[in-house]
Amino acid sequence: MLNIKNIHAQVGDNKILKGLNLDIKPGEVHAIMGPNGAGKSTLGNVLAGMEKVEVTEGSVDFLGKNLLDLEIEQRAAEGIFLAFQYPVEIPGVNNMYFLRAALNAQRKYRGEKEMNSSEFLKLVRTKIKQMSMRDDLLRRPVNEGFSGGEKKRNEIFQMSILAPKLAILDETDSGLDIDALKIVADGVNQLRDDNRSFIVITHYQRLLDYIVPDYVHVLADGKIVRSGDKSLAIELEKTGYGWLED
Amino acid sequence: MFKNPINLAFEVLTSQLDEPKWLQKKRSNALKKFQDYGIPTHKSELWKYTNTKKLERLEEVTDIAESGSVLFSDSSLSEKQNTQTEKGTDPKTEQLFVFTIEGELPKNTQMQDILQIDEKNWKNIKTDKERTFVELNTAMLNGGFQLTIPKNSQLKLHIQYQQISKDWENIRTVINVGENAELDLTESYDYDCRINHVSVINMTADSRLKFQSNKLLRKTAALIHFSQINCAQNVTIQQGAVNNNAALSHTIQEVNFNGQHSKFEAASVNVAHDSCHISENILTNHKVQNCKSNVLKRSLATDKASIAINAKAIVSKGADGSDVAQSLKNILLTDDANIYSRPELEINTDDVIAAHGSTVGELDETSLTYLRSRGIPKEQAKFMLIESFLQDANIFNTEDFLDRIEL
Repeated sequence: MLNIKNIHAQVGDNKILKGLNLDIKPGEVHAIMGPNGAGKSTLGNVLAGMEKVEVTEGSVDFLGKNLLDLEIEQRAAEGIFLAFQYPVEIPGVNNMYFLRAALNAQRKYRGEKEMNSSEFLKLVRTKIKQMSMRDDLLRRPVNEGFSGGEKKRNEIFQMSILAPKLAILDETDSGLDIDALKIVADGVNQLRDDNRSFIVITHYQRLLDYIVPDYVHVLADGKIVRSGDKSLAIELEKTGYGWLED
Repeated sequence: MFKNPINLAFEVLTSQLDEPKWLQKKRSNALKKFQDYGIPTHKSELWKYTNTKKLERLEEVTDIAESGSVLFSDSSLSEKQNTQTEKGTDPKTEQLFVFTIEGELPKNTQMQDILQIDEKNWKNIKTDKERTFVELNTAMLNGGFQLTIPKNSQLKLHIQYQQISKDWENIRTVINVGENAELDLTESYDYDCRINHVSVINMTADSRLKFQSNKLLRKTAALIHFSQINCAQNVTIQQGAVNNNAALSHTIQEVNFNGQHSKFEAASVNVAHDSCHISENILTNHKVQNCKSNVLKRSLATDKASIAINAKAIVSKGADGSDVAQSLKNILLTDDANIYSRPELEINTDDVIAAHGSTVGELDETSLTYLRSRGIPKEQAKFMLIESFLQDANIFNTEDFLDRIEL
């Protein structure tokens, strides 16, 4: 599904990714861990197409397409979803209006029929129950006045509506209490299937208790320096990243 | 319109009119004052960013109102009901207005042609160099009305100001809202207009005004508007305004609090494209205690357009308990567009709540990226952000608020 080869990326003059390689097959969950500043979020931003990050070398193939040639919105419509570490508040743009516009823009891009308001409402009602979100949040402007936990849940709720092929969760667990963490993880697990893949970027093993990964990678100084299964995350929890300096 | 031709136009106009001497005198005095003041330049505070030379280079009016639409005369105001358009009979003012009344017209509502009123009913407006076009309006006045709404009544009214010639229309309107009366007023102007409008609304004690002003104009149009609202005690006013395009659209509004416990809440949207220019200037005069004004403006300029916003509040000495708020937010969509935004408070007493703010910037890139990251194309995402920005000024929460604006 996703094949990243020798990616180099920078923000301004700051070189962050320095030859990263990663292969993800359909249905797999890959956890990316690593110390602060290793380049974890930059990896997410490269895949989603954030313009502040400049890719200077390498390639990214996503379902047979060169992802780096696509605009942000085209990548989203191709099936990439980035759950933001800090979801943006957009005053004045109603959550429902925004989501329907997003869903229909993606469907239009893919040549599918746009969803009418009653079909959309039905979909939203089903998903919002699954995410244990309050209805009134949908009628409010995007993320405005939401608590930290509500914002993260809203990201997962958007993901459930947009049903991407590859979801990147950028520290979705940060700032969540244990109950909110379980709800978010439940939401993710409901979306897991043989065709949908996840990249879970996190600092802590506890999220991986709820979203069990197939692979765990350690990212340091812009490269993946070690890969393993879930036991690697447990080991990192005990040992930290001091060994990287040896 | 302004130099030598003005004298000629004045002579032609006055020679055709059979008017009382007092009005003839008003006209000639006003013309003299206008000529003494001169055309405002960048040295005038309220015209600083408005290039009045544009008025000498206006394209010709191409869209002139057809006959049949009009002002109603006082005799036709007795027993009108439901939605209706009134026609008048005076050829001098005919066609300048279309009045549409929704619901029942209150009994004893009075309407007079402004050119037919008694001298004692004519109220002079204090002018200066900034307000020179008020004098021009008096000198060249070719139509208007005085409408008096009786106490304890309700009226819902739409007035369309029409362009009936290729020349400037100088219109003066006076609306008196009686004690405890309620007026729901919408004003609109012809798309391709050259109008110099002077409007005065006198709000008696306990009266209420819901006022929507729509200036949705052609890019070659010109509109100069002086508006004065005078409030007695316990008056409530909600005002929405939409200003879209025009070669030059310049508004000066004065709100005078003459009685205590009155409230004025205003929200306006300004959107200018191409080389259009919009200037909105509002002065709230807190002359007495315990009045509240809240002015919100949202402006958007693109291409080579320019917008000048000036919101000033004066709180007089002794006007304690005043509450003043000004929020001016502006977005520039291109490098060549200009917005000048100035909130101003002049407070001459101690016990006042006051807040003001002004921002000028571009569309928020982070928000734009967020919307795009969900699959929304860039142009659509921009449009959504623009809409949400302007919706702040949707004071009456109407669904079609932005429908007729060229965004």
